[in-house]
Amino acid sequence: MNPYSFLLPLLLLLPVLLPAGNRIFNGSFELGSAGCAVKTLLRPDTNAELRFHPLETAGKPGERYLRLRNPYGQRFELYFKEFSLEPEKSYTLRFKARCTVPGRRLAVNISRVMLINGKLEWSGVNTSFLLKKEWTAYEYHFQSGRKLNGYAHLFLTGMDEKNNPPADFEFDSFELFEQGEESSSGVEIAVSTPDFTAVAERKARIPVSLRIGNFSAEEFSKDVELSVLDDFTNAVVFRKKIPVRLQRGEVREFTETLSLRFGCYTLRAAAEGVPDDSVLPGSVAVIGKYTAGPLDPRRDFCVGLNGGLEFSGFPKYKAPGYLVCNAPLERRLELLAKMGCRILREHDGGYESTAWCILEKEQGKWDFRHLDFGLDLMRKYRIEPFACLGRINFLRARPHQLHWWTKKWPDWLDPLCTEVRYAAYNWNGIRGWVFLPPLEYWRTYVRKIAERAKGRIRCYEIFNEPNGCMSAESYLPFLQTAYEEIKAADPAAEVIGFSVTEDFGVKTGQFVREVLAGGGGRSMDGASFHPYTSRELGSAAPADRLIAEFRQLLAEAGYKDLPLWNTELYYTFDTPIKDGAFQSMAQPHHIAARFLTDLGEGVRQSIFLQQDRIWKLRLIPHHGFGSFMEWIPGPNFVVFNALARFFESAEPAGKHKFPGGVAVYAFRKKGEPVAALWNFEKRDGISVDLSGFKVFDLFGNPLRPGVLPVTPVPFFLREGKWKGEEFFKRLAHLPLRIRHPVVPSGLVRAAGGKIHATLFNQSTASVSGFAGFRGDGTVATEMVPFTIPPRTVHSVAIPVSPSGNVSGRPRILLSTGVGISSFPMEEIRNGTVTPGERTVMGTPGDFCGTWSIRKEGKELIFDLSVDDATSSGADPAGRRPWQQDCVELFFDFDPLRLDPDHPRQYTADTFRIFLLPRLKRDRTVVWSDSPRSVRTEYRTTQTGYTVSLRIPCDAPVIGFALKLNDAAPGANAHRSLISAGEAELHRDRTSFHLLFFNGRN
Amino acid sequence: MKHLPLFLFSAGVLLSVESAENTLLPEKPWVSDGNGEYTIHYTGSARPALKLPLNTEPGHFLRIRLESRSDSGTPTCFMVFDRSDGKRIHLRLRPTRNWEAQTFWLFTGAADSAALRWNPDPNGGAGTIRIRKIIVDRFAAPRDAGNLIPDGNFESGNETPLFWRVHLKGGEAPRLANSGEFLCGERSLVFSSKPGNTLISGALPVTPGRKYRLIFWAKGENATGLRTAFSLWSPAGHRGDHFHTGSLLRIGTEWKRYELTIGIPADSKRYPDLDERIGALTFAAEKNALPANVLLDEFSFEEIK
Repeated sequence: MNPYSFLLPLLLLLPVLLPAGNRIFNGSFELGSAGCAVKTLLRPDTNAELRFHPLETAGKPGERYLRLRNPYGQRFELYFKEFSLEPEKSYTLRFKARCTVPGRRLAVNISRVMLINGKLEWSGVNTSFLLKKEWTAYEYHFQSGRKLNGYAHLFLTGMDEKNNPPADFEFDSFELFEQGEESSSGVEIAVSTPDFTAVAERKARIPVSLRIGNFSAEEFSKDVELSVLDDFTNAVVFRKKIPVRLQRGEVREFTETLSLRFGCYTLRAAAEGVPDDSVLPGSVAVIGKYTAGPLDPRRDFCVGLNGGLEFSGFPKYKAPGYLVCNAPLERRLELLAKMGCRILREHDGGYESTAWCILEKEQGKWDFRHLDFGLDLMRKYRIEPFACLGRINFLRARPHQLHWWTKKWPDWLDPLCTEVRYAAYNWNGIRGWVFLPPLEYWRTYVRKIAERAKGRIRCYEIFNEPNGCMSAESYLPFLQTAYEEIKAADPAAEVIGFSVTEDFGVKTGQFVREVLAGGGGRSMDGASFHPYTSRELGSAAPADRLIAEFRQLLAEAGYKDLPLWNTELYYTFDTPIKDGAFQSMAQPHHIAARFLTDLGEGVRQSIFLQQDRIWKLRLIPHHGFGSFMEWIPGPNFVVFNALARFFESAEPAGKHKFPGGVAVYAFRKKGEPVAALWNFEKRDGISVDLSGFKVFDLFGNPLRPGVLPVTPVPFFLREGKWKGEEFFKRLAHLPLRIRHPVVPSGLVRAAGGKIHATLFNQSTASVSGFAGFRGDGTVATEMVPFTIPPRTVHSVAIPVSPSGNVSGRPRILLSTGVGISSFPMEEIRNGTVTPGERTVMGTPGDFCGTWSIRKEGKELIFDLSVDDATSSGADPAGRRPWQQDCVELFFDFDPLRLDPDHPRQYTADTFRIFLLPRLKRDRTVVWSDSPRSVRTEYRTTQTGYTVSLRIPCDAPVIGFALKLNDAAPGANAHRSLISAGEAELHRDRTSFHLLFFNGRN
Repeated sequence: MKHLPLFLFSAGVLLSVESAENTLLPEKPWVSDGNGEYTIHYTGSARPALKLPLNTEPGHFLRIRLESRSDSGTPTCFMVFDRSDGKRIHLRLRPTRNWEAQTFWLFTGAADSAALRWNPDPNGGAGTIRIRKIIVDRFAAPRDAGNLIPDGNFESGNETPLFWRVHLKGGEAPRLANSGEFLCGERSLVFSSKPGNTLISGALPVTPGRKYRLIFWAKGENATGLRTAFSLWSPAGHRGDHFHTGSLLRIGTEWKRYELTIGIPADSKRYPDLDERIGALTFAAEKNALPANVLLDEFSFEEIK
């Protein structure tokens, strides 16, 4: 007997009974599996062919349900389109399910991850059910609480055990609604195209389907507007109203054909009375045809990514397998190949093909199936595997990381590892966590790989970011050993050494010098770097300068011709937002700029981005973190395709930097000129006449040449009227137009009744004009004249007074001819300190500092008395200065001069002094670009200590801040007092107080 | 006469600044409140005067600064400068509803003494007039005074631009308005540039044979032309040829700085008005230009050294 039979009449009415307020799109599956995607772990142990079963729907119209086939007992995550929730509400999730194997546990998760005020905020609720063989209704009531608001999504997880039986799962009637709601269900629309990618010469003709279901109680007769949004520009490129008439319960398909040029698009539908939760947008990326020709990654610049086949398992999953996103395993590589990716650095893409912990699970027993499978699969798609041997396996996982950490030595090897020798330039807090195996085991491992992979791996990198974790002394033998073994097995293979990072504040110079001094230069064919502090040409430490400095470092040791490889830069743009997830959200122009900078600077390969950055989140677009469940190409996919078509195998042929912050890189690609230009200083009002060139946007769409605005989004140029050498000559003399010859820095400092700003003349001629200020209750009382030589910075002090009539954002106003240009500013209102006046911070008798600062002639005198009863000890005990009882002094001897692009950045006049009163020696530590003559006097008192410091200073105004740290004996500092609020004193000089001496002390 | 200490400006010599507090001679019904404020509740008859005797140096200049207010009626008040060389200069005080500052330039001619008096005009009707903070600045030459236009940026707090008025009867009085997105300050002068409307400044002192730089900023609600001129007018009565010089300026819809050099003739035989060393600036619409409200600001009129 069909246990469902008594429900049959109701089932027919089911779509009608589903209440509106049902936030689950297509919960009845009458529109097929639209709105769902499954992420599965394909297990080689149970699924030798790694077959992927897509989601299906079964049943007659009006009775459809979703089927998830799982004959291999594989872990799955079933995702649904996101929906909106409100805070502090009660909701009910209801659905029906059954499983061919009763008793299988199904985890139900409702998750919301959003970037709020620069931080990722995670919240969610979950429960689980045991499924039965027959259809069973399940309900889950939950509170959204304070945080579960905005866009959330539902995902179900099953088969999470090590040993799972083959089992099919079926689902139906998903509803999520606010408790107490009672209303009819509505219309649902799914927009789709035959494929998420279309390849075209210039424009693609794309058939679009709108599958519309009327699940309301009434006839639906309205216009549905189909619109197409360019994902990069956010412009609507197509709009059309389609008249739709559907009876209740009717589902029908409507079609339209679009003509779209290169780019990535979201296809939306809207109709009156149909909420967003009820519409599933489509997506399509239009790219040019990329043909993979012969390519040698050791010589030919190409598109590359960090990633892998996402072989995942321990400890995150109970059984290992290849994670796939709603598609077969090879689909990812197929798409990467279509995009034009030719090299994949196996890092941060699951367990790499060369993962030691997989290849030699038991000591002495080698199993190369995983290696062979990975290499052959990549090569099938003409993608070069770039092996990062050892990766960062030497770094042990912290307890809170264990559940997802995928970088490790084999279990049998781990106990044999010994701790490295550390260096001062390593990351903070790394000591005690870094272990390397005995060298002979490493040698054997590398030899085995090199022999097995001969001809299939042509490039190896040795370790990932070792300079963050160990000394050069520890790294060197592993580099040298690897080089010997690789060259012995495969002389044609190349070894890339260093893999140095500037991430998290670590510096590369000392490590590199030490490796080279130890002979490491002879054990590498290339040098790799991760330029996290030099992401862009316009960074405070410009990208091209870092590359030049790295080259210089190598040249000084006799390796000036060693090729450079950029093998990682997940964060491609500068931002004050610290959240890593946000920083990884590269946009197409960031990608193009970095790629072209590396190519233009002669870097051999630029493999900077992680592979997931090319996808688009269609089901959960408001999710703030990159969890993908579909491989849908996004705008970044399209730009990489354009870069591959325009610049693969190109060689640098010239570089120019123009006023206004315009960079031009010229190349030859198979002898033909090609170039790129963009505005790396991100200035407004810059345009250029590109007549005579063929101009393309960053996706490869032709543009009409002529006068075009130069923005941070690169143009690509090919021969037009200008050909051959004339092409290059014209590039060197591009006719730029600068609307604003003088621009202010992005922030101003308000102190002493004046606004202190810095102006920059970005033109090639001297400019005179006037500066003013208004906004946020302040207005200039007089305008200030200026004359600034070309390419020069000039400080102005604009007298201001409060005004209740002046509103709006603070802005600098400049007039250099006709009209007044307005530049919105960030206004920093600094506290001022009166010279000679005593200031108290903290709690007297507990932890407190009383200080004053004054000048005597040309000498600055700082006096401080501290109440701190416990000494942190006379021995630093491995602690950094600020981790002990310490007085941190921050000085800026030219605080009113701001760099136009990086006003907060420390300058040559900004320096720090650490006073360590408890130590027996080395009590005064000065961090300064130039020598400072400092005299200090320390005294121990009954309640703590006093310090007096003298330093030469003839500046009429200085920036100053003070931080006191208190530590227990042998322990790290547990409390601090700061004179300047919560400011980031160590990186922001504009947060210091200002002291005006005015000729007085 | 209370004298403030003599001090030197780097740009010239201000001979003295005097508060008239203890020297004024009020005729009834003028009364003093004892704190430097003088009031008359004028009935509309006779010409009772508030008098200020002055010692003067021949050939010097006086800048009279005061605040005035009328809180009832609209009485007219003359300000008369009687010089010991026999010349009498008639000026007009323009008290408004609020305390507002006014500035007047006077030339001493050949006089070694003079008197200032304020007396209401019986033809102007009854009302209350108040005057306070009368300050007399003495200069040997206009070049010593820097910017000769008082409150050139209109930020003094006055609600009315009292140094500027319509030149011809029937014209539209200038007013102050929000500057909008200007480099500094909050308010600008609004001149309605149209046929029949001319703006004239208060008296400005000049030295024969010297050059003066006029600077101002302007912006029109639409593009228009503005005739800007400087004229010599003897306040003691015009004689001989009339001297005036100026330019036609194109005013756009964006703020722009304008600068003109004005040369003062030295030939007092041809231009007898030169004897009184006083002139005024005028602004008038270009013939056939589109009418437009023009914002004017940051006036400066200084002798070029």
